[in-house]
Amino acid sequence: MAELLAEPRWVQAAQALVCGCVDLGPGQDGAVALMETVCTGLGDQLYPAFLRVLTEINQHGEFAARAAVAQTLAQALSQGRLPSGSRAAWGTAALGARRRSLGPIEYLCLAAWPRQGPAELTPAQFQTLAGAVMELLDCAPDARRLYAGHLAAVADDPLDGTLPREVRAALRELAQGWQGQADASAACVAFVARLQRAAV
Amino acid sequence: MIGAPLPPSLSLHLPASPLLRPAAAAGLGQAAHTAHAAGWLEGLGLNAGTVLRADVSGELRGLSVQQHAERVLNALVG
Repeated sequence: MAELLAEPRWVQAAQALVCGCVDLGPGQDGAVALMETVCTGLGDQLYPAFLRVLTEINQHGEFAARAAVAQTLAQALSQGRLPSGSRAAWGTAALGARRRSLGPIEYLCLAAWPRQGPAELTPAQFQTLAGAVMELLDCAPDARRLYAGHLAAVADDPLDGTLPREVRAALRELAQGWQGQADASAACVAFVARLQRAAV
Repeated sequence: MIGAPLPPSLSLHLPASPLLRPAAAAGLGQAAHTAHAAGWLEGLGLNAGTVLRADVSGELRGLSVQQHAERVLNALVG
């Protein structure tokens, strides 16, 4: 099992992912496979490290770098190959539980759910991470519409037990807000507020 | 020592995802959360002034998917 380095070289990893996407062709099959291979190498437990790398790319990448990664994410989404992390259905035993893969934004949304104590991500951390992924996607034409539609479909999936009712409602609102507003961070703020209201 | 900060690597040795907090194991989930946050969230928002370029240097051109993936993974995991 892979273990995170004591001092992960986030910027170096982010630059390597950018280089790979550019070299293999932004949005091309090879670049999509690169993301899949990275996530497979990290494993489910370290999938959040991939999300951190995406955040670094959004925060520090020049536009062409961000666009190369965003186009690859958009292509992966359109092919049903979005780099995902697997989580158990909520409220089930950890081992042997039914699991479902969640893409970057919906994964972060679940981590921001403050049930039974503090959420795994603080509101500020969620807004930084989710806002970064959403901004990154805006570097690719049509990616926002595609991903927002995907989020709405996840929220409306009646058979999915991964996301609790409160998160699904907030996720639906996030998808609508993201489509309707130029600023992705406003949708993130609304998402956190909705979750906090539901937790009271 | 009870209450002492957990080492960043602790969450990586847990058998289940540290982001999980099953209803029957809330205490473990909380400890895992602390360790987990210390690992992948540490330094979030730092590295100001760094610029990631879309240029690919000569020696990196034409690498395979696996080779590019290893370059990413080598910076993160051991």
